[in-house]
Amino acid sequence: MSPERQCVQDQCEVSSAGNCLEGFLPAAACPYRRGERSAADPQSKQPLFIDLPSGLALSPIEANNIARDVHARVILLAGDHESGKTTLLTSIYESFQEASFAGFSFAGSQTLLGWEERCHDGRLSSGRSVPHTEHTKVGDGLKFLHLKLSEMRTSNVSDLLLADVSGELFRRLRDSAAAIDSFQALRRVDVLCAVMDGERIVKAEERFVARNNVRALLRSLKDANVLQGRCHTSVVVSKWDAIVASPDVEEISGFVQESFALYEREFPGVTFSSVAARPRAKLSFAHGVATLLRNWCQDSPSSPSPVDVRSLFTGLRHFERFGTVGV
Amino acid sequence: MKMATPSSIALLGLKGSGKTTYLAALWHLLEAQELKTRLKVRSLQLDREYLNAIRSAWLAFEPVPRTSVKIDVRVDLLLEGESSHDLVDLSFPDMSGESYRLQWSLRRAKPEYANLAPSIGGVLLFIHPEVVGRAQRIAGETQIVSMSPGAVGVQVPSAKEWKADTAPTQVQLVDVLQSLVFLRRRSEPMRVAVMISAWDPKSTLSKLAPMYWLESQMPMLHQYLCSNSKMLPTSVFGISAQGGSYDSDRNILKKQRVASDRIQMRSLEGQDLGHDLTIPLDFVLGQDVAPLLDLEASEPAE
Repeated sequence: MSPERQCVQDQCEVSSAGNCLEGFLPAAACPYRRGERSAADPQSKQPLFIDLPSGLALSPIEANNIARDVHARVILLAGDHESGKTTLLTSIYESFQEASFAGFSFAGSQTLLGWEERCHDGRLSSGRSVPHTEHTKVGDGLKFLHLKLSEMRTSNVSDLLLADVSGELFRRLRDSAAAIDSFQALRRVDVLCAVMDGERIVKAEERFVARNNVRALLRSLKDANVLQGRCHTSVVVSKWDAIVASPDVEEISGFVQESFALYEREFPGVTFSSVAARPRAKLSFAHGVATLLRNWCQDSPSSPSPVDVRSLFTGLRHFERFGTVGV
Repeated sequence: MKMATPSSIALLGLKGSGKTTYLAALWHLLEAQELKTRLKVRSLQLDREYLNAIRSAWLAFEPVPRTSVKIDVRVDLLLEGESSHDLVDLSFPDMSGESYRLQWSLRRAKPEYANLAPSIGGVLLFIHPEVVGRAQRIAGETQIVSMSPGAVGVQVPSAKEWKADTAPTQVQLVDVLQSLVFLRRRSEPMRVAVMISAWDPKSTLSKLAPMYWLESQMPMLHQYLCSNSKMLPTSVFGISAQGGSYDSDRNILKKQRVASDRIQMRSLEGQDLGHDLTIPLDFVLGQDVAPLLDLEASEPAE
């Protein structure tokens, strides 16, 4: 059995031969040594290293500390399993890697490693030939990603805390008042984004379930009265490229129109968007996400009432110009 | 003549970004006094072994030795302003690029660096255009796959596990700056001179203004610096400390009669700044010798 690797550097032989690649003696003093965070020098008792913030996604307590200090906006995405929530979030971060986005400039993040980890499977460095997003596991607990953005027009700075709820937790919140009651983060949410999976809407046998799942979540939250008064609720249809590419566009258009009308009647003030965060064809990367992000950063976003979905299907050029409902 | 103002300037940058080459050329410029410079050395550092070793490599057209993560190299110089005669007691911790990689991937900072951070008044941030890692998205069909036990779906062949080292260079550099701000724990602004290395006169790079290179090649870092311009006032310099490639330009470089003439510099907007490597130092020390980077001023070059 080979000795467990003691060093994160692949070429170091400290595990097998005891020789530190960097020449540290004792080898325990080497910063590349696994584990032993904040170890101390045995003679001086001084710490060998100083710990930096992890850079990973934040726990609710860590997120709360930021929210309290800088008045951050808390955005929660909830939707069925594999509805595209995490991909939507990573498309925002990836867009800032290329340029200013949605009228904002990237001003920093306390969760850069968290973002990078989630983007990995959509990049060539993953070794994949097809982009992939690992789904959010309920066992990981609720985790927040952080973005600090500077509005280009005003130079005002906004801190966003973004979280996507696992499909399993989404189901629990939809089905159980007790689950809602114990989910403390809901009380601090500024934007609740219910995600409806465009790929499910395209399938006749799944679209009604998809619609009702979102409606049931919104109804559960409304009944429990847990969302703060200023919390804005939106419904986002993800994977819009699947709808654009469907041969049953007329039928789907009518279904989506009816869905929005149902939501508007039952939940006045709800806004609507459609996005294709990582589309297959015809649409550009992060299609519709810029408008969604702008809405998240507004105190009172709105979309015209009643919402007319027909404009989204009158032709691709028109569609590309008006990629989201209500803009 | 004013008393010396102690100040530390951090040389930041990942492995191979040109920090030590700059230091070698700077030391020669200051010590040999072949050319007029904005800052000059008032007295020599007591222990000059490291500086002289890297300077010798630079003079011999040899790549300067890599700074090991084990060695805590610190350079202390007493400099005097050429015109003002103000004294600055300048300290450079020459952290290895590996140390910054350590910070990024393992979230550990060396105590020496953490202890020095509160005294850091400015930063030279080095980037080598040929050593820039970029994020490349996979084009094509999206495949969302459940990885939970018992899930039914398309099985994806095993791919490479995520490692922090694969993060784009611009992301790691944003983190280097954020970590320094965190360790520094001061509210006073800290000037940043972005030093784009290997800005050789004959390369295609030199046809572009440094600020446009930064905006187009490192857009997230560019946004970060512009968005935080009050805390991190920034200028950008194109630097050729070597004067060219040792592989292809060695014979031309050898013909220079004055070694300091090898050095080439461009301002943020692409203006020729001559050979004076102390200009970026003067900038981070607070002198208005260089224009500031700002979002409104930067537009894509034609």
